[in-house]
Amino acid sequence: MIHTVYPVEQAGYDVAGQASADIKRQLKQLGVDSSIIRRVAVACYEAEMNLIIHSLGGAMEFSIEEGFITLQVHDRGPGIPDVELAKKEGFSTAPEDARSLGFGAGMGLPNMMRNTDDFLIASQVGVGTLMIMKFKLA
Amino acid sequence: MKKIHSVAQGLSLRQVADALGATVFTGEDHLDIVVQTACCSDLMSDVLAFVHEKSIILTGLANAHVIRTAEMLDLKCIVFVRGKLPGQDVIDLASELGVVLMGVNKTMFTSAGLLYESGLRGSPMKWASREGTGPAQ
Repeated sequence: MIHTVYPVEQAGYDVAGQASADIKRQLKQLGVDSSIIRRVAVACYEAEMNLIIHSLGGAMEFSIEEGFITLQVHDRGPGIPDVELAKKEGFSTAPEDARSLGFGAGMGLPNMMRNTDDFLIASQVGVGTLMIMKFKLA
Repeated sequence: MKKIHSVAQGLSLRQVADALGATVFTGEDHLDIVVQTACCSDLMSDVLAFVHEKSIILTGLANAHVIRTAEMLDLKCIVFVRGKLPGQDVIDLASELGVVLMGVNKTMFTSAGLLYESGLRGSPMKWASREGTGPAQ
């Protein structure tokens, strides 16, 4: 069983994408089908950027067991007031500094949902957000 | 009867550079790679949503996130338009990952037009990762 934890810090733009790149490398080494790798990589990168742009810091946990790749993403807040709204394409609350870097298209959560076989999100304002994304291996 | 050629042959990255009159910043060794489509965007989430493999990105954004986005999608070439110059850190990352970087002193519209004229076409307007299952946009 593979289980790796990647801490992701708030506004850590300088190292953004490193966790996702490492996860992608691991999957390549394991010989996982390239179309699955691509879906995991996209969902993973969106999640990593969300932590950097929106959260107060958190972590991504990557694991493989029983035929599933699982990405568990959790943060220490601030939480999403309206999760259904956040799921809508084009809705974004990204600040100006994130937009100037090419983010804030409002495609983050839709991109993650599209690419996963099973997607769960739970959020509480003042507490944090938890996302669990599962990808079938076969 | 007129024969219809419907199969896109694509363009090599060398042909892309020639069509644009582009400067190659890194990846001279990979210019024989053939690409089928191009995508113009300054928003990387849109690239992640809609771009397919064997595509190139035309963008006015010249930072490391563009390279990371290309890495996630296995894209082999990024063209910086409007005279944008990538920093050395961006060039180094692309070089490490084998991504070709080019720059062109033209607008995105003109650059896209030149590539279209040369035979390149856009990515199909459907979600890239689950072909055919996305909503018509």
